Amino acid sequence: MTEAPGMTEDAAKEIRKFIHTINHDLQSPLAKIITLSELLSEKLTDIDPADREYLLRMHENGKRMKAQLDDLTRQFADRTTPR
Amino acid sequence: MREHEKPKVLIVDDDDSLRQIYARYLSAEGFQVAQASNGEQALLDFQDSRLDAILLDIRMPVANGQVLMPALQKSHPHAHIIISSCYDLDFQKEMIGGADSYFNKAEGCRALLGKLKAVLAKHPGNPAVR
Repeated sequence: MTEAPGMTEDAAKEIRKFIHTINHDLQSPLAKIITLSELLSEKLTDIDPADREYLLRMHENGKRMKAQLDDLTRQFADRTTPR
Repeated sequence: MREHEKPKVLIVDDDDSLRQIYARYLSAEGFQVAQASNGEQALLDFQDSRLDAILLDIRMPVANGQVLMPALQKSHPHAHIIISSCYDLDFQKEMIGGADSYFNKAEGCRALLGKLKAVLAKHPGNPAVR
């Protein structure tokens, strides 16, 4: 039995598998964007303030995207996991 | 870990670029760093090496972290194991039994350094207590 009305267990399983794959494929590049922007920000101490702002935005947006992806994954997991 | 020696950490991760980023960062922070790109290599190449900590990716081809952890705990009972993954801890709860810490790769290198120092400071020179 699934929480989403009318969804068969097979369909729910397929959706979970799809979300898992998408999640896995996106999490790894996101981790690199967040890690590398943090490293650049630490290393490049003598850069234009506007350039520092670009790095900061890159880092913050990477983290925001990661949080959204985690939320999305949790929501799909909640809706398609058998109770 | 003897006082005069740098702490030695083995990074096991099939993602070459992230593994090298961590290796470079931790070397600059005073660690001796060894690398393995999969579980099999970690077991074969570092079986007799002194290791103070192991950063172990959970999802890898050729013996993933879940399979590898019991073998590493047996071959390196003094090493502290930090599980690493791109996923949040709550997605991985079932996979981290026996590990000393958990590192989400999206936390960045500074957080990794903090976690490594924390596990090493907890039991300096002593067998890992789990």
